[in-house]
Amino acid sequence: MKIIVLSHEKLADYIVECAEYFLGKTGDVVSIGLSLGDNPDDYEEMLTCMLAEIDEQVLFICDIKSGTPYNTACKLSFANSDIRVLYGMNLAMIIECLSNRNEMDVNELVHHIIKIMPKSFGTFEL
Amino acid sequence: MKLLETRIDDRLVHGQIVTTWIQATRADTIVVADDNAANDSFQQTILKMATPEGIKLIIKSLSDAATMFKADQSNMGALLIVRSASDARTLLESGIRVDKITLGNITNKKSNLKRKMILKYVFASQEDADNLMAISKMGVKLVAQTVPGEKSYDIMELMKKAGFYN
Repeated sequence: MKIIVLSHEKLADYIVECAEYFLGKTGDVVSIGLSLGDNPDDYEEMLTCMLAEIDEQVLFICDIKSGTPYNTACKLSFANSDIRVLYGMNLAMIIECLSNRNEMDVNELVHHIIKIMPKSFGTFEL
Repeated sequence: MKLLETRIDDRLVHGQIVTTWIQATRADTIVVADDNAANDSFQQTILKMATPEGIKLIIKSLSDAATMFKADQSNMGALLIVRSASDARTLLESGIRVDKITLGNITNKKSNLKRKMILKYVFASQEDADNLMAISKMGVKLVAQTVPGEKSYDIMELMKKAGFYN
């Protein structure tokens, strides 16, 4: 499965860099930032071209719901059940996805992430 | 329908809009006036998904939006979004009245790099300049602002500085 992390600005680049700090370099995860001033049609075209070169399942992991990265990923996943989209990325989610990407198919992984993600945030209480 | 805020934004409905402008204006409706979106069910699905629960979303072509605004005498507060300066001008020329239009995002497509950078998020071509001038002459204030509270810029001043009206 190809994991593509999408965010505004450099969040995606840096979160992947941090995940690789934990897991070691994974090589086949892509991170893409959308900057202020980038054209949304060009962004969609770039992702469409990228998908055309990929013939495995794809998981888009996006920073936030309703952002242009997420909106674009959803549009691209419409016609294709081998493309899934997650939003609300945090470091734990990225690490979990990267750790399991060869053991599960994309639908299993999404199901797994949705189930365990509540454990990825909380507060310390004695 | 009261137009609480009018915005030119080539990303249409997205995070910035829903997390800040709706809250700041207390709008309960988003109107997207866009010929493309009005005819594209994929785009409509995306726009609906991006719209928060409790906020009404209306997607119309430019001419249908103009008709709707003229007919709608309700007190609903709307945030109006169009994709370009040319679309904003078309709406205004059909009789819609606003005091101010905020820019938003206007960016350069790689296939057609005719726009010059005015701000990080605003690029303008001669065609945009003509449309913005026409809008300004109708008495509409044009400002650039990403989110409420951020610095706002007078668009006509920026355009003059960029050499558009010499």
